[in-house]
Parts: sequence; structure tokens; C-alpha cells
Amino acid sequence: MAKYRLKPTLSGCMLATAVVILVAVGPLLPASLRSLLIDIMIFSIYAMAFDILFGYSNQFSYGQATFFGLGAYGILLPVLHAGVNLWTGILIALVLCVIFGLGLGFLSVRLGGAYFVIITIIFNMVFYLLALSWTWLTGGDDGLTFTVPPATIGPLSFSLYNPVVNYYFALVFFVASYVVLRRFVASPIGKILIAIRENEERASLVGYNVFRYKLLAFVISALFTGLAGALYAIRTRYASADYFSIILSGEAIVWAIIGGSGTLIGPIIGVAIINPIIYYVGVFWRHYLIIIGLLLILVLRFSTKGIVGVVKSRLAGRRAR
Amino acid sequence: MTAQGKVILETHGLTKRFGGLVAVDHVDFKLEEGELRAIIGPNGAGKSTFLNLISGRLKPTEGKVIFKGEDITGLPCHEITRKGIALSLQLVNIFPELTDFENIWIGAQMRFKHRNPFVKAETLAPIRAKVEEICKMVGLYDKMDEVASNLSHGDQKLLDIGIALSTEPSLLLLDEPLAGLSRKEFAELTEVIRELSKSKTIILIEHNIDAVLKLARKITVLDRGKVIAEGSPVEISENVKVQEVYLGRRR
Repeated sequence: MAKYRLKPTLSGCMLATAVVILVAVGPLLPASLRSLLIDIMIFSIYAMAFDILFGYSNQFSYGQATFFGLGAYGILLPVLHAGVNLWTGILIALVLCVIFGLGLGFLSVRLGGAYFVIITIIFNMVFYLLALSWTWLTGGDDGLTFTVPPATIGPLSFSLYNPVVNYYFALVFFVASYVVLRRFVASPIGKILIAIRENEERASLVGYNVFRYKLLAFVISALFTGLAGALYAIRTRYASADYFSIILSGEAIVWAIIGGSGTLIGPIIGVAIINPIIYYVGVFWRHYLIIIGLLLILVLRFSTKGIVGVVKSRLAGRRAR
Repeated sequence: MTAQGKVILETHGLTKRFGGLVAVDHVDFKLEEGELRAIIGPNGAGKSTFLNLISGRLKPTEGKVIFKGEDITGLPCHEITRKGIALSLQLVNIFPELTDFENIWIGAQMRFKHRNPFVKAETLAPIRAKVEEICKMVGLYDKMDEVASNLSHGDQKLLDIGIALSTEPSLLLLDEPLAGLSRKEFAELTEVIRELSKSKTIILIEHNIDAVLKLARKITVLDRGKVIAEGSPVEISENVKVQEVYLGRRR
């Protein structure tokens, strides 16, 4: 009798353990490490969002920072000018990203391969240059600071200026995003996206509207990228044109390639490796990017599926023996 | 034999031009439900183009395609698939990095309505049952867990046909399914097609005359985009035009 299953996912136990550890160590961590972990969690949401696009539906976007910046300004501007509360601000940021995701996706998703890469770069550059030049709106290069409203849950109110609160705040969104996206890629729609990644023509020949599903992936990716942008604006109490930086778009690609795309967990590992390098080496050595470049070459030397890909194939090899 | 007589597919003046080349030239074609029709003809006769026009991969320049009384001319191919026409291409066309089980799953879930984004696909038991049934039908039940790219060419062809079947087609279009197979694979697949023909309407493009004579009761001959003959295998082999154009040229 054949044993069969759809592709296994990271076991729930491992996730639960990781969450318990992250929850437990929160107050105990030294301030600098806690700060680093917050960054890693926020950028992990961005990395997972990029993975939905690149790893699960084979759309290589080089302009994902567009939505990071939109998310950041999407919360900053309403809070700054209209004094909305935190949750409303986040909601506005997300709605904004969905709207722009639909619009930009509609224009770009039909284009395959290199054309898609180019058009996403162009979108990214347009938004970046607009953010730079519309200083009345964005503050341009100098950016804008804002006072982060407290996170209120019923009668309770938490100040996000408290680093421990900020840590748990990021943790909640990080875990929620992971769980939601994990369920999403394991759902029937997730299977359709994987089918499109594997063979677009065949997917349309079994009755799926490829354009619609690719657009869906694009919008969901925009949504979660925007969430990461909003959280980062909250964390830094600031946003500038740099939040639209194309370098940020490129970072998502590096995370995915080093960690392993199409796995969700891979890009998180990518962030967890790259960000400490920037954080600890970057402060005293200006050319820290050399390390990241070498790392990229090293990983690609072994597998195009990143660290997770290497581990998976080793495990599969051992099981087969 | 299944009930016959009802026309399931017809084309009227179906034409496809690529620049100056007329690949399919005013083809009027009728297919009855339950039939297994073979289309033969020399290379470049327009056989594959004809199937691509029916399945929506190509848009006709002129003419109409009527499926179950409904005009489906020019619809995108995913909509035509949903109406019940499945195409298995000449070259193996599968999801290479997925297992056989997953390959067939993709097509099988198309007919199921619940797309709750938070249902785990694995838990949908009716789809699972259907996938297993199709795997048995094409003889891949013991290989469900294997990654498709590791299969032999013959098994990949079977998988390809399995994917086509998973969309629950009432009309199956097979474009040279037997090309490039080993003797054993050839026999296996011929048997699968014969078995399928009991429950499905099939159009089969095939170069191998033995297989055509074994499987089909009626044959259509295309040459340079035109239908030059249609009839039983005996009629076709006695047809002077066919001998000239097709059998003659083969020698």
C-alpha cells in the first residue's frame, strides 16, 4: 500500500517551542539583543510576504519595498495628521496596501519573467522618487517622526515606548502572520499557487485562471509587506523615503535565497542570519556587505533552495538510506 | 458500448492562419458522444493545431467550436477546461517537483467548491478519494508518493493523462500519447486508453497505425489543414486520396 501525503510542513511542535522560548525570554534579554529580535521578527513578516510572491507563485518582484513604504506611511500619516488610534492606523495601512497591491498587480502580474522584474523595479523607483520629492507629504530624505499611540485592548492600554511591550507587540504579529500564511499555503489555494509556480500552462489547462491567482498572491504579499512596514514605522516612530528603498527590495531576495524560498521558514532563517551580521558587524566594519555576498555565493554553491533546501535534501537522503 | 448518436463537439469552418500559413483550413468536424476518434495525417497537417483550437490554447482566425450545443469559440483555456474538455499535450506537461499524488490533486480539487483559505487541503477527504481512484485508473497507485520528475517517460505520460482525467472531462483530447514509449509502456497506455474509451469521448492523434486500428472505429484524415477523408479504418485504408497523401508519402 502506498504511503502518501502532501508536502510536510514544519511541525507544530517546533513552532510552539520557538514561541514559548520567545515569550519566556522577552523581559530577560539585554536591551540590544531584544531590539535586534524585534527587527528580526518584523522583517520576517516582510520576508514571508515576499516568499508568497517569489517562493510560492514564482513572481520575482524586485520592488516589494514599495509596499513596505506604503505600510509605514499608511500608519504614520493618519496618526500624525488625523490623530487616529493605533489599530485604525494599522488598518488604514493595510487597506492602502491592498488597494495599491490590486492596482500595481493588475498592471504587472500578466507580464512574465524579466518583464515582471523590470516593471516592479520601475514601480519601486517611482514610489521612492515621489517619496523623496514630495517632502510636504513624506518629509523626503529626512523623513517624519510621530508619536506612537498606545496599544489599547479593551480597558487596558500599553505604551509601545516600553521596549518589552514593543517586543511582545512584534511577537504577536510575527506569530499570527506565520500561522495565517502557513495555513494559507497549505490550503487548496496554496496548492494552486504551487501548481502555477511549477507549470503555469498546465495549471491553466486544469481549469485555473492563472492571472487571478497570481494577482491574489501579489495582493496578499503586498498586505503582509505593508503590515511589516507599519510595524517598523511603529518601532522606529519614524518613516522616510528610505522605507521605499530598492535596497530593501533586494534584501527580501537575499533572505529568500539564503534561507530557502517556497518554505516560509527559510526566509525567516535568512533574516535571522543576515540581520545580526548587519547589526553586529555593520557597526564597526563599513564593508560588511562582503560577508553577505560571500554567504550568498556559498549557499548557492550547495543549493538553489537555500539552507532549508540543503537540510531537507539531507534529511530525505538519510530517510531513503 | 455507450449510447451514441448525440453530437458532443462540432466545428464549423474552423480556420487558423499563422501569417501566410493556413494550419487549419475550414474544418467541419462532428464528434458523437462516446466515440473514440482518431485523427491522422502527415507531419504539419494541422492535427495539433486543431486540438489547440478546441481546447482554447489558440484562438481561431475564423469559424466556430460548438461543445454540447454551446459556442465556446475563443474562450480562455481554463474556462474550456471547466466546461469539460481536457487536453493532454504531445510533450509531457506535468508539475515536475510535486509528487504524483499532488499532481493529480491539483486537477481534482478544481471541481470542489470549498475554497476556505484556512482549510488544510489534506483534510478534504472527497478529493483524496478521487485522487486515489484516478491513480488506480492510470496505474500509478503504487507510485503516488514519487516525485514526478523522477518517473520514467511512460509513467510521466500516464500521469499527464491522469491530470487531464482529474478535471472530470467529458471530452478528452490526446495528442500523440504513444510517441516515444517503450514497447511495454506502449501496451500499457494503449490498454488505459481503451479502458477510458468505455466511459469517455476521446479524440486521439496518433502516428502509429497499429494503435489507431486497434483503438478507433472511425478515423479522420487531415492534410495541409483540410479534412481529406473520414470513415472506418477499412474505408480509410482503401481511400485513394489517403493512400496518395499519407500512406504514399510515408514510404
